[in-house]
Amino acid sequence: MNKMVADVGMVAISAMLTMVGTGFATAWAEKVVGGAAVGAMAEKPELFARGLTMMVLPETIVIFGMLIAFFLVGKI
Amino acid sequence: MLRPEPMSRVLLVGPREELDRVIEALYGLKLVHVVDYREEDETLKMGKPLPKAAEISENLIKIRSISTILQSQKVKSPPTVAVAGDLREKIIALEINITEEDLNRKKTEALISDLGKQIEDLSPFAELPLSLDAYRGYESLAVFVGRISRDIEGIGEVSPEREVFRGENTAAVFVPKERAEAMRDLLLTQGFSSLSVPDAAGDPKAKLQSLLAERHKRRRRLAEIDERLTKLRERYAGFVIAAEKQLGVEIEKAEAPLRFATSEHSFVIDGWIPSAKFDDLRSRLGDLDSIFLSKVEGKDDEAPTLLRNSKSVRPFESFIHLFSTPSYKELDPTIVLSLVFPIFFGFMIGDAGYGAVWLVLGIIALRKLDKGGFRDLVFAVTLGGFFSLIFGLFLYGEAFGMPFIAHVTADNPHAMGWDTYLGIHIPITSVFHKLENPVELILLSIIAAFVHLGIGFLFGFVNEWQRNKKHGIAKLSWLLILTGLFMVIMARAAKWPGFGRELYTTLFGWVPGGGLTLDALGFMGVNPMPFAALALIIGGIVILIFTESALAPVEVVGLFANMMSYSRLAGVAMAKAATAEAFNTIVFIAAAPGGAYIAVGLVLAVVFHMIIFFLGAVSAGIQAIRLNYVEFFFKFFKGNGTMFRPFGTGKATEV
Repeated sequence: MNKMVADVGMVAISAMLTMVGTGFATAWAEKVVGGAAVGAMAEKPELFARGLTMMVLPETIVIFGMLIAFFLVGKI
Repeated sequence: MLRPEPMSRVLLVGPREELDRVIEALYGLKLVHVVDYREEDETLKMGKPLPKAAEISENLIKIRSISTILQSQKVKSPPTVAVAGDLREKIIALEINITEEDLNRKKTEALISDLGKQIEDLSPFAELPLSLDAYRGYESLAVFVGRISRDIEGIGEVSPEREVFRGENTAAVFVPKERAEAMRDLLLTQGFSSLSVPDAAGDPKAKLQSLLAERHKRRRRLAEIDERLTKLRERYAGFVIAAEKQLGVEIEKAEAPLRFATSEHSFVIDGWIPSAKFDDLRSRLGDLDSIFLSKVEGKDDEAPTLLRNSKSVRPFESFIHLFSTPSYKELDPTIVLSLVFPIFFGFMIGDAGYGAVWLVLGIIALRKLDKGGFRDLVFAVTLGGFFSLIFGLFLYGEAFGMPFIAHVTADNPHAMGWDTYLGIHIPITSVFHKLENPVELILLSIIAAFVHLGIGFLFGFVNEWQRNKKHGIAKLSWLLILTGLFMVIMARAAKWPGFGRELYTTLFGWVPGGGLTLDALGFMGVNPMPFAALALIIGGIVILIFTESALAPVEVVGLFANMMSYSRLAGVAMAKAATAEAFNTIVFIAAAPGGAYIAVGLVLAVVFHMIIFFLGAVSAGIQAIRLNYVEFFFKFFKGNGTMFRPFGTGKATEV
């Protein structure tokens, strides 16, 4: 029984770590790209579309993080 | 609706002496999008501005400087003035009048600030009982004058011979020259800050009085000048604004030839016109016999885009232009955006209370606002408010973060609801509760993803098919892959009995062929990964390799991420619901003791719900538009079109 509780705990912690890690990674990447994109847009407003594209690319990281976390929690 | 207005390329050729009249006619029609002439050659040169352009721009500069001095934009509703006759004479008369006043004002302001400085320098000396001459001209004495607030301690030890005069916060100390160094050090330790003696002579008190009187006089003068300028502003603001506008129009006309090609005796205007309006142009120019007008073959790639949508969809066009103007050959996605944005917004807010407030506020605002980007935004959010109301009533059954009928269970006997907490019975049951049914909400989001992205690929197919059949087919293969992925996700959700399984059986129960069990990923015996879905995905990938490139299949992972990205719909809805529930709990705890506490609770409730109301709309609005911009548009949208700007609608030219 105790072993099972420990296992469940480990799975939950893994899911948490996945979310934390991918969340930070995405935030970091978007910070860099976003800053540059806003700078470019201030110069040339027509770069909005391209800036937005670049800006949201790193989101994929956290989306997959969420999926993995989802699968992990599903195992509990 | 899905296509921009059809355009025709027109050429207008005529003798130069008719140029003036042609410009007038085109300006009045506001139908021709002029293509600027840039490639000069031997015979055809870029045109020169009409001769009157120099005078007009000079007048425009004058009137703008007058406008700045008068601050005519400060007048809230300037009277509408018809500008007629000789503008130049009026402008020059006004200029003389106003520049003189302005000069006077500037001079007086400078004098006042100068007087202020003198007063500031002199006032400490007025506290001391000495004439200004008394501070200088000594051979054997050193003088220290400055500010010090307390008594000077230990002065006797530094110099037994001295004379000290004190004002309230000032002091003048006279000591023999040989003691000067020691006295300076002592004074510095006691917070003394020295002042320089003004150049003037005589009694500082009397001098200060006269300076103050002088400043008072000047200030009155300034007030008089300001009053006169205010009167001038009230009297002439209407004229100034009207003249500025009129001159803006005239300068656009006068400088128009810069955009045309001209030879020694003739001019050529090249432009685009909505095909349906060509006859209007012809009949308008009909009375000018010497003008030759004809439709010519134009490349579609160069045509400007004029979106045409019904009135209720048009406000969403500005969202499209914000991203990028569609090219002339592309499908116009405005209609899809105008449906999807409010639905997504409504799904995320999903609250009858907030929805109703947005709807009412929005309708009031729309009546008052003038046309423009902000009005378009308000329109979009108002529609979103309407869908919030619908979703709030029929899907979530809640208002202001509380369900109409509390979901009381054994685990949660004190569930919050309009009936349990407020005693108001509204017989609407919630289909889903945002915080209790996260999986269901995510699945609804994925369905939205499938529909939305599917439309995107269909648009992409239509756009690509005209240009390149192969690329068109590639878009269809993406649609196959999308369907396959959708089936896989739904099959995975069918692992849980209840909504997930029901949904799968309803949508794909008819699909034969069994499936693959993959325990590690949660595809069990009850919900195998359907072979049909795998066939769709693999088939799609194979077609993709032949139609796009061998590397294209890598993008399948990206498509999967795009689909999952829609789960933000559920995420924002849940976050909003959780915040609302937490706030409501605080409100009820605050109001629980009854009596005056109910008032406290009410105030808290208003503040809290205002926060959720605005924050919720901001996040829901951003996420809803983003799903369109990123996930949807990237499936088909190329953009980079030129917006149709007919001659005569341009903003006033900068001079």
